[in-house]
Amino acid sequence: MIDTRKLVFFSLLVAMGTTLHVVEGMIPNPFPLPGVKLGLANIVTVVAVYFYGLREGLAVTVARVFLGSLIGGMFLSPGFLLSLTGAVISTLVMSLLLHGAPGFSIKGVSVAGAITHNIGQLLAASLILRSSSIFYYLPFLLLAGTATGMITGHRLSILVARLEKTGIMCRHEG
Amino acid sequence: MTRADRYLIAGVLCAALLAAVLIVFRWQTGSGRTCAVIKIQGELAGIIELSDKRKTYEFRGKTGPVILEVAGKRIRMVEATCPDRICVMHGWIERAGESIVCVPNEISISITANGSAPLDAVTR
Repeated sequence: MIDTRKLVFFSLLVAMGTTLHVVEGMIPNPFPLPGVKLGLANIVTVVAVYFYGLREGLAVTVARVFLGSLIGGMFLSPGFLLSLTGAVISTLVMSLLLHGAPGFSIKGVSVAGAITHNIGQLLAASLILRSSSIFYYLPFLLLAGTATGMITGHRLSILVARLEKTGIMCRHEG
Repeated sequence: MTRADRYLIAGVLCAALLAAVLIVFRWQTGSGRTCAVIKIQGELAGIIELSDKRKTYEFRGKTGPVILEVAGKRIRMVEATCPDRICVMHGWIERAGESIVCVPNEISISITANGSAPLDAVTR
């Protein structure tokens, strides 16, 4: 049976994720480091993983990356492959921390998501370039990921608390 | 922030620091390995490692002998028998991708690093 309520929230999450993905791509990067961004679209992934689970989170994330890069004109470009790899890896890790490892708050999960996104991107980039020298970039991305992960994590903890209070989304168990 | 969060963030920062230290270390040990590739009339005539020690090399160009000098990880053309000495006036080169060309002698000197130019690739 199709759960209509879930379908609606699912569509909303994909739409919001796509919007964040596209809008974030339009903001000029204020740092001299390419690839550093806030990771606002990750908010939607965390919400999906938190309230529904890994499968749903992955579906929302992959749909968001596909739609976002189609709209942004980056479909199947190297940037798209980096986004996809980073997003999938970070979704897996965040789901593991949210559902498998007690003790982490949304903030910690967000930081883990940001840095695993960066590590995934570097892995994809080193495969595309066939060179491991891109990993020289890792310390910068780890620092940036920790900072941006804490910022989005702070937003997320407010958002999740409010969503739970209103009760429009109930926490997925198991 | 829970205790696990703090451990996670501290762990990541330590990993970043460790990676940075390792990278700086590798940079320093690996940076002395630039080489100059010498080609005469399109043929490979020699590969010279750019070391700190002063050393001169002699090659035979089309118009006569040319003398190269390596010192301080740089290389230059010291003497050549070509008419306008553009190659000699070019001075020192040291970075990967730089080159000195002497057209009358049909000699080119170009610097290559071990696998890594200043830019590997550009992506958007």
